[in-house]
Amino acid sequence: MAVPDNLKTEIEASKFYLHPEHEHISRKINLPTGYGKDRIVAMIRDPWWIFTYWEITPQTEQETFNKIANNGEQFDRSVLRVHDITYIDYFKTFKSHSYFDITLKDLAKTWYIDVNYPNRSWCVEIGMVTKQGNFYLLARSNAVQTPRFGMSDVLDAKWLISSEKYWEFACLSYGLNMYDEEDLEEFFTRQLNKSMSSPGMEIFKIRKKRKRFVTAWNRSELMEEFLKNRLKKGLFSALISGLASLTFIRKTKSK
Amino acid sequence: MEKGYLAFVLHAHFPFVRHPEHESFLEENWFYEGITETYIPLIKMIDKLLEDGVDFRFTISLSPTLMAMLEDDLLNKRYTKKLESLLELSYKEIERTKPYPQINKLAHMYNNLFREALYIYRDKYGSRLLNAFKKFDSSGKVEIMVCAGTHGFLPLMSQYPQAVRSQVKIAVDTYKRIFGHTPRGIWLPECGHYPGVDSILKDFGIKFFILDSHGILFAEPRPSFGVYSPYFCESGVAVFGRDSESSKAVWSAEEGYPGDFNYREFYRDIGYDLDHDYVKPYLNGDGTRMNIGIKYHRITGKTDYKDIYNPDAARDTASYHAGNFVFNREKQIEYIAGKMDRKPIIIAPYDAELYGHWWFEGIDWLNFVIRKVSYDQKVFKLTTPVEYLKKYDRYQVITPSYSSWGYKGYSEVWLNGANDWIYPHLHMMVERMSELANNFPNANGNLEMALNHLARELLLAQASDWSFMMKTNTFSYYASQRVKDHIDRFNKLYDMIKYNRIDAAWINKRRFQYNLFQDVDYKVYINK
Repeated sequence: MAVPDNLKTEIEASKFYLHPEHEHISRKINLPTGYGKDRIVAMIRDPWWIFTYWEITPQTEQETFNKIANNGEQFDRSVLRVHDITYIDYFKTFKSHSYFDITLKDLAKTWYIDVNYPNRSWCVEIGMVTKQGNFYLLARSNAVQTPRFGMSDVLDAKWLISSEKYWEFACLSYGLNMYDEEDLEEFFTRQLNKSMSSPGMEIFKIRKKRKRFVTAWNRSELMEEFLKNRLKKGLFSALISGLASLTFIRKTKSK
Repeated sequence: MEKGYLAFVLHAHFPFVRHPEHESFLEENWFYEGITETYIPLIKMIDKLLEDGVDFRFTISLSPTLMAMLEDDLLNKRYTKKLESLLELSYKEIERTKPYPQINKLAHMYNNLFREALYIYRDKYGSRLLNAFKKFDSSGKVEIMVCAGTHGFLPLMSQYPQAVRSQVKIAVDTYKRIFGHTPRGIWLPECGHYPGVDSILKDFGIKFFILDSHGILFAEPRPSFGVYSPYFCESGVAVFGRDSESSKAVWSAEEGYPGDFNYREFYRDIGYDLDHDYVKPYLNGDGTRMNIGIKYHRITGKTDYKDIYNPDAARDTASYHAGNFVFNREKQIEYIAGKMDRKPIIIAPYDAELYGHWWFEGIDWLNFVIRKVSYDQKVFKLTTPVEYLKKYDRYQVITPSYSSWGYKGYSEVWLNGANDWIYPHLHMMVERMSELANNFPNANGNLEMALNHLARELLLAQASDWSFMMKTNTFSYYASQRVKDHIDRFNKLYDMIKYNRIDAAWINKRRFQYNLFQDVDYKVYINK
């Protein structure tokens, strides 16, 4: 068998490898499609992406429709409103630095959100936007913080460490010579062309100040994989949501 | 005087797979293969190192589900039977391969290995391999770490501290019951870390854990010595970072040792290669072809053509690779030592099952490395994380970054289109668990038994193995069936408890099947 790029994952999977394909005949289990509780939950996938899933009960949905009608407004669309709440106690003040909306299709119940910024805090609301432009909240998520990606700016007074020294140790950690541009260059290209077995190496992309390029690469590759996974599951609605997020990305990029 | 240190850390784990309801169960073979190919050879290696008085240090992490399986009577009986039948097959193979001297030599090799394995397993350790690890623990040379309860990926349950606490508590309780003292180190499943988890570890007396390199390098404030020194978290728990260079030597697809053409080929097995009628009695009940564990070929090259395996050449290669590894560490440590105000430590963690199971010669390699470090050089010494921590008074305080050692370094392996459907259920189970725990803070009798079993179903559903297998499409059907089964039984039991119609017989049947964690305590989920 050919040695794949991502050897570590294959080796780990080999623990569970007995033969190519096998299916048990076992009992059919139908899981509940919902738990009758309004909720939206946010989870961290990586420094740029968060995942959310939600459940809104038909009652809550109806009540909100009624509220909109009682206020003399008309429903326009359902959205995820993604708030940047870094350093803000959002749940006290309901204020955020900024937010963006993602328009939902009827069947979507989960969403991978490209928040694009590491080391920021986020809160996702699901709600309805009216033709008059008002937002009616259905549910609000927990707060999550995307991981830092790169060297911290915070210095420790007792253990002063210059960025030069930091990079020296970072390069050492990956067996690289920080003064050898070619070495770094080669390493860098290798990381970009192939899947990585040790993703921590991505720090070098920042160092080489090619962050924009790398971010774009990350986006397209991750999105492609996302769509592939979704398509495999045969979910038409997921395809729509995938396409919608692609459109969304293009929009953010063109901004 | 040495200039630095190297700490090997092997993480051993299997999810809890035990199916008494079937006479033989395919997936139990994961565990059996792990015992024959990794755990027994590893035990043999350490025993011999101790016997020879080698000055070595070694760290092993044992997951609580693995420990539960290692002390289970039914699995022990089944494993012994399995090994006996393998031995029987190896005798047949000696006969069958007589006309082919090259293969016949290998048949003898397997026969020796299985005979020795049976001796170590049944006779030396009385079908209780944990006795070996207990012995190692008290030797002072081997550090035994624990791992979270069912290997739950903690960052994806971090919004529920009680769920994380429960994973840690059952781990520490299980370890204490077996080893008689609190574990000093914990292996965070998949090195999955989120800022703040250390305060929970501290509550249970844990002294250290290990992260992937970027967990340390991206920490706040800026870490002074990269991954070559431990640090303290705010809570006082120490954290070590994985050294990528020594990892790459083994894990890398291009440069890694295990891909050498002389080494044994994992995917060529007589379970596929030989006449079906001949191997059928040694396959699983239904006769589906599968790995048996007798493999006669070497990697040979990148094509499907495979040469016959040559154990002597493979051993020489392992020895050469060990020498190369030690030499590189010497150079690495000499270089780094000059840049620090203290002696550097290199943390080299691996999945234990890589050694022996995937990389057949891996244990030989480890053995060669350990002996070469002890006898052939003076630049560095082997150590354990705990031993190193005692060397200095002060360590920098940092908050490590959210990270894992999985593909791409974060949560994507366990959170993607193939497995994200599990989280709405897993999270609701935690909420329901806490709801009932809050409602019944002092349960006893059947109610207490029911609540404890409810916690067990939740823990079992949280194993990171299931989402990993869904993602890698390795026995993903079994993985999703297991998660669904635990969710379904959890919900049924939740209703029983909530509406006061507990069916003790039903619960007992389920407890018989999932007989691990007898000391689980639902009260850990109380959160009001």
